[in-house]
Parts: sequence; structure tokens; C-alpha cells
Amino acid sequence: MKRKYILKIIIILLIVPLLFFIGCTKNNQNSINTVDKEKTPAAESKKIKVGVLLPYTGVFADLAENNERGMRIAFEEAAAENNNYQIVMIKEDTEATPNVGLQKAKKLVLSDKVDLIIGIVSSSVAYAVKDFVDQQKIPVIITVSEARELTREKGSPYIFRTFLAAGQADYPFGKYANENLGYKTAVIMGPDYAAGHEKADAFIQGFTEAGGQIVQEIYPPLGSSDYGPYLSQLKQADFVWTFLGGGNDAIKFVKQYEEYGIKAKMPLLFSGGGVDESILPSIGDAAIGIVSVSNYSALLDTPENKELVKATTNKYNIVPNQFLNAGYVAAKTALSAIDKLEGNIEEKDKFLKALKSVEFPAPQGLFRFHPESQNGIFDAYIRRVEKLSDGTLGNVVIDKIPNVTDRW
Amino acid sequence: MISILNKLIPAETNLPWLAKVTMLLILVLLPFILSSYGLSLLTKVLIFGLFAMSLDILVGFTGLVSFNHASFFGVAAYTVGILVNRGFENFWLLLIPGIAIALLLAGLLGLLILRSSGAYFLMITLAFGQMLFALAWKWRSLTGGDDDGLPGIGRPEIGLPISMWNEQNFYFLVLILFIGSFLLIKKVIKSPFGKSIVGTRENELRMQSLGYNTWLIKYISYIIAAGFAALAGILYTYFNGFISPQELDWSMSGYILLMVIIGGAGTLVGPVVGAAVIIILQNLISTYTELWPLFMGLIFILCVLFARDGIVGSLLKLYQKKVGEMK
Repeated sequence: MKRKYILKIIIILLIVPLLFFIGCTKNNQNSINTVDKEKTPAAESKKIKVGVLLPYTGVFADLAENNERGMRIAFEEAAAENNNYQIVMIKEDTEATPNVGLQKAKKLVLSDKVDLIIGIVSSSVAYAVKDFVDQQKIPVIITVSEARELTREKGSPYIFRTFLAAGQADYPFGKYANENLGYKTAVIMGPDYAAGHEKADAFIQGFTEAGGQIVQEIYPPLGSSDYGPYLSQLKQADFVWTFLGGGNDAIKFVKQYEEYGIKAKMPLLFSGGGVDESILPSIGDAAIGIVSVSNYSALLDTPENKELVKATTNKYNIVPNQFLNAGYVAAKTALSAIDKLEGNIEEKDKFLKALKSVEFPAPQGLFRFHPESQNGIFDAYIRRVEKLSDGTLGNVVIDKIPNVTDRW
Repeated sequence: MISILNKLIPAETNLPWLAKVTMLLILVLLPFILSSYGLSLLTKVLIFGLFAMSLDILVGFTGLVSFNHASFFGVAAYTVGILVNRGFENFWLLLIPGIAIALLLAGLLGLLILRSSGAYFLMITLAFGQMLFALAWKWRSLTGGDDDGLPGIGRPEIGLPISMWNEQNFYFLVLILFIGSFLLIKKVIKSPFGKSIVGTRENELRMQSLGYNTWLIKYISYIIAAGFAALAGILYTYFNGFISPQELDWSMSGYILLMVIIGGAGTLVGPVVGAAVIIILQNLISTYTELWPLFMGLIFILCVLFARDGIVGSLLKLYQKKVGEMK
């Protein structure tokens, strides 16, 4: 009997401080007031609420964190510059599942009364949320979710995307591989899920239209623990194209690719996040020489990017990556539209119009939306992993395909 | 025999009528007080409450811990979702194919599943549940697969000049169906058949020697439970306007099982309370911290330590003890 009591007391002792901890973290975790408190903003400065809808738990947690870092940097820059309004970020975790995402979107819109939503990584969450935001007339700026149809037939006047749609850079990259790199034959290797297939299809289309030939297509399941069985069946071609988005997958894959001695025979071409700055240190020297396409590289030589690199290293002690940049650009897009209305975000029609016509120098170059699809227009950068003078690895930009859109 | 069985069914029916009327009044009045977000949570609680109640028929009364209850929920949801997208509108007519398919599925699966019991029962239900999940995931042309899901379902057309896009109206539709289902399930549980279900749970061998066909009893209760799960699934489709394969996943079955256990298996009201506690807490806590799964875990541990029979089950025991003392 006594023992039972002790157990109960221990548990209570554990729980009380934890509950206390929730209470304390409420303000830091939930609403982030980006205005510097010491500067005391003008009394009449109004609050603009931004709902941040990201998968903070689950496989995309890392990506979500980078997205948020980018947004935070942008909002803090804005807070330092003006006093007309202050941005309040309200974070919600989608767990990368559609029904949770929708529930959280409802919470943000109905309960917190946010003025717009930024975020969304999984396409399934984007589709789940779409009807609801349409009905509530809440603009959504998608930071990562790549599903092509989101800005095509299944699009919405309220949905914008500040990231590459699946295929947007892959299609011209396919052409580039044939025309500029001179490759004739290719092996395609993509993860077996919707985005993997969409990207692979776009690359194949570009490559074959330019005159190239596909020797083999392999689609390992997402999250494979060992790529050995797939690597050993590769046929000989001029190169292997792949897109293995998730951090762990890419690390395993690139390392095994070198260990199996294939790297020496066939170069590796990557689409998207496989050799992202966030995972390059974990891959190590096995990544050197890999050519990839993206709308961003931390080594881009623009004044805006230099500032972003500086801000990121100061604040988080990391090199920015494409997901951090995506969050940054999404937040900048919202800010630039808000500024145009001088903070009067309630005028929804005007705000939508302002969003549509946004134009500002982003770290990767001039940013603007495609007028019909509402998807960003980007320069697709061809990058090669090289060892930099300070001994770290980086994506050196070797070429660019200007102005790629998601309508090709 | 019957009098013994009566004791085995918790005495929630003995609650004073005043308590029942108050509960009903609260449910009717709440939508006028709550914010629109609160109302949407409450609607979700009722839908999942209905879903959990249907599982309670199996877990609490029949003593079968099923891990594919989400299959019926999801299959009915997909049936209605697909039909709506093909242009069928009338809500009442759509209920028929939605529920019928779930009943049919339960009839088929029941034949295979009910041959086993205990841990094997749990495993085989899990297996079939995941098979259906995989089907929904891979059959892209019909279900939209994982990435797209099935969007654009909208709200039900009930044949009256009332717009279901109004959240309050939709809530009342759900409430009416919820109360109707609740009374129906209760009627089943209190009927002689309901008594035989509980008897089978308590001592299958004895029931058999008394001349009951216990296999058939379990089979029928499995099908009944599937029917109510299907109704919940259909309502959920309309509530979200969207379905994804996630609704068929075992994690959904587990989620519902948690509601039943936390609320109190075999009490019928308990699962609804469990649904309310889990949904509201999860939404509240995850707003404040990314560590929310930790706190949900702690709450479950607390429930296991302090309320073995679930929230309602424990309260009922306490209440019965008090009443017994007074006498």
C-alpha cells in the first residue's frame, strides 16, 4: 500500500513542474512577437497575425524548422525597419497528416483569426486545407509542398507557392543534361511516391524531347534502409538522375553510391534537396562532384543572399539552405504585399492583388509570381558540390537556366 | 442468469433523469455560446464519440479488441465521397450505400476474423485493416491515393431549405444522428441480444452450454458495430470535405481504441467522454508546445494509474459506492 502511494506521489511531482513548464513556454512557443520590445513601437501599431502551419513532428521536422528560421529572419528584419504594424507568428503542428492539418488550419483561422497562413510541406495537407481556405478567403503561401496540380487545375485564387513545383526545374534540367552536358543515355532513380514520380516524369520528358534516351527506370520505396540491391542492378548509361528528398535517404544513397564504385563510372545528377546544405556535412566527401538543380545555393553572389547568410550564421550558426530560403522568401512575399497596403491587410481583394503582383529582390534573384498559376518564377541554378577554401562543402553555381515557370 | 448479467452492465442507466436532461440541454445550447472554432471541435467530438461508441460495442460489451474498426469508418467515407464527386447529392440516399458497403465488408471480414480470439484476433484485424489501407493508398484512380486524397466533397444536401455550410446547422444534424444512434445502441445493449453479448464476453463456454450460438452473437455484434462506424465515417467526410487514406490506417483504429479505454469501456457514455478529452486536450496542448505527445502520454499513464476503468467507469463505481453507502 505504502509503495503505491510513493509511486503516485512521484508521478504527481513529475507532472506538476511539466505543466508549469507548459504554462511558462506559452508565450515563447506560441506567439512570437517580432517587434523588439525595447524599441517600444508606436502605440497605434496594429497586429497582423500570421498562421505558421508546419509539420514540427514527424519526418519533416527538420525541414519545418528551417522554414520557420527563414520566416523569423524575414519578420525580424521587417520589425527593425518599420513601426506601422507588428507581425505575430502563431505556430501549429500539422504532423504531416491531412486531417490534423485541416483541424489546425481551422484553429488558426476560426479561433486565432489569422490574416494569412504560411507553410505546408505535405501535398496531402495542402489539398486537405484548400477547400477550407477557399471558403474562408484566407490567403495561403506554400513554402514547400511541391504537388504540381496545386497551382494548376486544382489551384485556387488563395493559394500561392514560393517554391519550385515538382518538375518546374526538372524539365529544363532534363533538356540541359542533354544539350549542355552532352549526355545521351540516362538511368532514372526516384523514390516511389507521387512527388518522386512527378519529378522523374518531368525530367524524362525534358531529356527525351532534347533527344536523350532512358536506359532504365528504378523506383525504390521511400525511406529504404539499404540501396545496395537497387544500385547493383543499375545498367550502364552516361549518368544517373535521382531525387531522394528526405535527409536520411539522401545521405545513405550518396554514400553507398560511392562505396559501390558507381560514382567513378556514372556521374550523379540530383534534383532538389538531396545535396542540400543542411545535409552536406553528413554526406561528406562522397558528395563532391555531384551536379544538382535548385532555385537556391548558399553561395549565390547577390547582396540579398549575402545578408541572409550573415543573418543565418549569426542567429543560428548554420549556413542557409533552400528550405530556410523558402521560408524567408514566403515571409518576404507576405511582407512586401502588406507594405504595399500600408498594413491594411483586412482589404482582402486588395491584398490578393498585391500578393499576385509582388516583386522584390530575393536572395536567389528577382522574385515574382506567374500571373496565372500563382507559383514563383525562378532561375534554376545548376550547382556542383565542391570543397570550399575553408574546408567545408558547398554547392558552387556553375550555370543557370533563367526564368523557369511551372507551366511548360 | 439475466439478473447476473444486469449487474455486469454498468449502471449508467440509473443516473437520475435530471442529469440526462442537463446533458442534452448543454449539447443543444453549447453551439450558441461557443466560438466557431469551439463549435468545429465539438462537432468533431460528437463524430468521434459516435465512432468510439460503435467500437465500445465490440471492446466493452462483446470483449473483442478490434484493430480494424477504422476500415468501416474509412470505407463508408470513401464510398460517400466518391459518389458525391460523381454527382450524387441527397444525403439520406447516400447513407444507404455508405452504410451498406461497410455492413457487407464486416459480414465478409467477420467470417474470417471471428475464427480467432485473443491476441490472434487483434493481429488478424490489424492485418485486414492495413490491407484496406494499402488499397486506398495505391488505388489512385479511385481514391486519389495519398498525396491528393479526395477533396471537394462539401456539405450534405439534406433535402430541406437549410444550408449545411452553416456550422451550427451541420452541428445539429450531427447531434440528431448522434443521439439517435446512441439510443439505438443502448436499445440493442439492453435487449436480450445485448445481454447475450455480455454473457459471451464473460463466459463463452457457459453461454454455449446454455444453448447460445456464441459465434453468431459475436458476428452480429461485429456487423452492428461496423454500421455505426460507417455512419460516423460518412459524417466525418462531410465535416472535413475531404478524405485521405489516413482515415483507414491502424493509427486511426488505435486512436479510437484509446478514446474507448480512457473514457471507460462498456459504459457507452465513456467513449464519448474519452473522445472529448483526447480531441480537446490534443488540440489545446499542441498549440502550446511541440512536446505535446509527451503530455498526452503522461495523461494516459495517469489514467492507467488512477482510473483503471476509464474516466466514466471509475466515476460510476464511485457513484455506485456512494449510493450503496446511503442505502
